[in-house]
Amino acid sequence: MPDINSQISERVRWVFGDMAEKILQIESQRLGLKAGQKLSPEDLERLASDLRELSEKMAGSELAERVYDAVHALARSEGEAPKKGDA
Amino acid sequence: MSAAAPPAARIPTYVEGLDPRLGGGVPPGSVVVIEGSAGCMKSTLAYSILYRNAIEKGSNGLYITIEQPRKDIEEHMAGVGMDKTARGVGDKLAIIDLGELRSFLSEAGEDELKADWFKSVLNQIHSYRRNHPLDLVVLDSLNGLFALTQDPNPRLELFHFIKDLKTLPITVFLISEVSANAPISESLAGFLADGIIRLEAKRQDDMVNLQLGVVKMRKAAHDHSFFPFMIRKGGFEVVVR
Repeated sequence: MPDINSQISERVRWVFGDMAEKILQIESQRLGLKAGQKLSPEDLERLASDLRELSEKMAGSELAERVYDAVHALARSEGEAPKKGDA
Repeated sequence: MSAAAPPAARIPTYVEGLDPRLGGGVPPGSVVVIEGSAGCMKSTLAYSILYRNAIEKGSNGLYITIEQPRKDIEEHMAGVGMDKTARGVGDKLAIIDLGELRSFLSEAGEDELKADWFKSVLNQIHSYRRNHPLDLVVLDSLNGLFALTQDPNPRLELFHFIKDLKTLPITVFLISEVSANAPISESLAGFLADGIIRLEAKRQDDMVNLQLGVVKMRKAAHDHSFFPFMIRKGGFEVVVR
């Protein structure tokens, strides 16, 4: 099973291309998340929100919501995620 | 004797007067270069093909911009009668602005020139197809992509890029800016691609007139003439005398 960062990268590659890993690394650093740290559902929620913000600038709100939903769904599958939009 | 398989439906350009001279449109699965100098309406033509195919046929299009901001494109297109929020377009036409992504990376202190953008764009298109229906792609522009490569031999990169695009069941339009008097034979992308649509601006007295010619289109018996090319609200027209 790929690690969570790889899974997120794959879910957002359609908007970020091969920069997905780098974007994720930068956003994680901004949120104070350490490399290799297990992400809590709240961390994933914050990541999803930040990725949505960048996606909105790049592709508009409709596609940004799809990015958010994709990462949020991953957060849900990882455990008890906060309700959408609670971050 | 078995009957020959019917030809696959063409992708109409919806440029009035042009499609009949292309046998109905662009053969599906083609990689077509739309080339011309600045201001020749390359981007507008490419966008209009996505826009009209979304409305008329429900085709799903993706417009990838490397340098021109998404909002500028949307505003310009709305100004010439192609409002992205119009009924029938909906989520069938997506614009992804890689300039915003580049700005984000740059602000974070990353060297954007270290990335392999040819490969990244290819993988992005592959990934987009896995996640969304996709029929048509515009890449605006090849020049922007070249500006991001430090490969001393971009011809090789371009060869693999176009070769990979051709394996996909989508039709791709690559926008290429060339100088006004550039010979067609100098277009490397055009040599590798299935088709070349060339736009030219001709000055006549105090007017600039646009002309469109289909220089090359594989799998299509097409007219090689250059025609006067005009924009009207919501579309284009070639004037056939």
